[in-house]
Amino acid sequence: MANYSRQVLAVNLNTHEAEYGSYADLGRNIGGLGFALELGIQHRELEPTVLSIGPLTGFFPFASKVCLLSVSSSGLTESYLSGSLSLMLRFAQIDCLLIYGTSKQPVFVSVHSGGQVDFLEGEAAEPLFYKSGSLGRRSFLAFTDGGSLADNYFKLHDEIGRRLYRRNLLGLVVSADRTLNIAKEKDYSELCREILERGRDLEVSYSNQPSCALCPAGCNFSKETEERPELVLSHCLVTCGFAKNIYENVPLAFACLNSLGYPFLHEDLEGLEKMVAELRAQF
Amino acid sequence: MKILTAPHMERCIGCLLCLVEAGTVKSSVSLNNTLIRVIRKSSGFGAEVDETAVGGEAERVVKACPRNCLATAEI
Repeated sequence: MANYSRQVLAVNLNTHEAEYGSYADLGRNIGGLGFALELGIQHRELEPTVLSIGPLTGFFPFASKVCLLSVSSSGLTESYLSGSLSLMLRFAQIDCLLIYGTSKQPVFVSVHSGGQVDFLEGEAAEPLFYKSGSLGRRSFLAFTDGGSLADNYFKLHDEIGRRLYRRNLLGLVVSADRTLNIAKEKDYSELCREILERGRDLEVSYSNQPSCALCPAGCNFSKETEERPELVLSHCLVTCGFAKNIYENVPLAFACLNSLGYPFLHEDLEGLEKMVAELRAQF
Repeated sequence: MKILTAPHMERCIGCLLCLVEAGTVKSSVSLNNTLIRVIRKSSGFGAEVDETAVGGEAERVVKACPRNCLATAEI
């Protein structure tokens, strides 16, 4: 089927090595939060930070966030990041980025499509870091102790950003150049149009702030992180929480997934709350 | 002949709907080989457009922008 891959890039900051591979054994777990939780459990001993996109990311309006999970001995921190990183991860063909370990020296990480990674060592590598990738087809994250940003504007969860900084990770850039297929082009186009027309159903007003990828709203909250654990379907699709009136709707979510060729069933979507609750309970 | 232009980038919010629309060809989507690149600047956004984009292609990308940043021009 089209676009059905769960490609994971694991970045080891201890050794400056990366491993890119496919996860095929996650059953009816559609992605996003569910996928991040599964990986967090499987790799709990590494205390990773997991960045995960959803199955609609890069294709549908308001499917614009990145699920961030940070696993530590004290438990789980969950947050949703705005900006264009979601789009770049999709077109780099990375469903999930797992970062673990601590670098011996400050490092910038440059991720390219298909899981190729450059480790740019030392603080002096910063100018080179900001030249990585293609103009207009990349997304930068900069980590500091006092507040980390995506695309020099969108806030990261303080604790998650600080944790990455303390692992000596100063920055991450994802560059994207892959071409992806759409299984049912006509259905896809009609759904995109319908969802854009439903912008009036957002919980926020349109404004003129820098917006997340594939979101025409530019709302006054775009730079903020999102933490709304009650939104399970939205968080597995990794759609914006303010679009819950659109995406917390199993038939619509199913139609979107179906247009892209994903093999999920209605029952899979209806079972997500239980599945996520069980996964969360393992932390 | 009509070409794509970006006369109102001061309105751009960086949603990149134009980029994805431009990269949608039949049943595939890409951020490559597109007619437009949106570039974040220190303040706001800029665009590099492919001025060889003509007719229907350009019209489609113009229509995708929710802020009317783009237009076509006769050359």
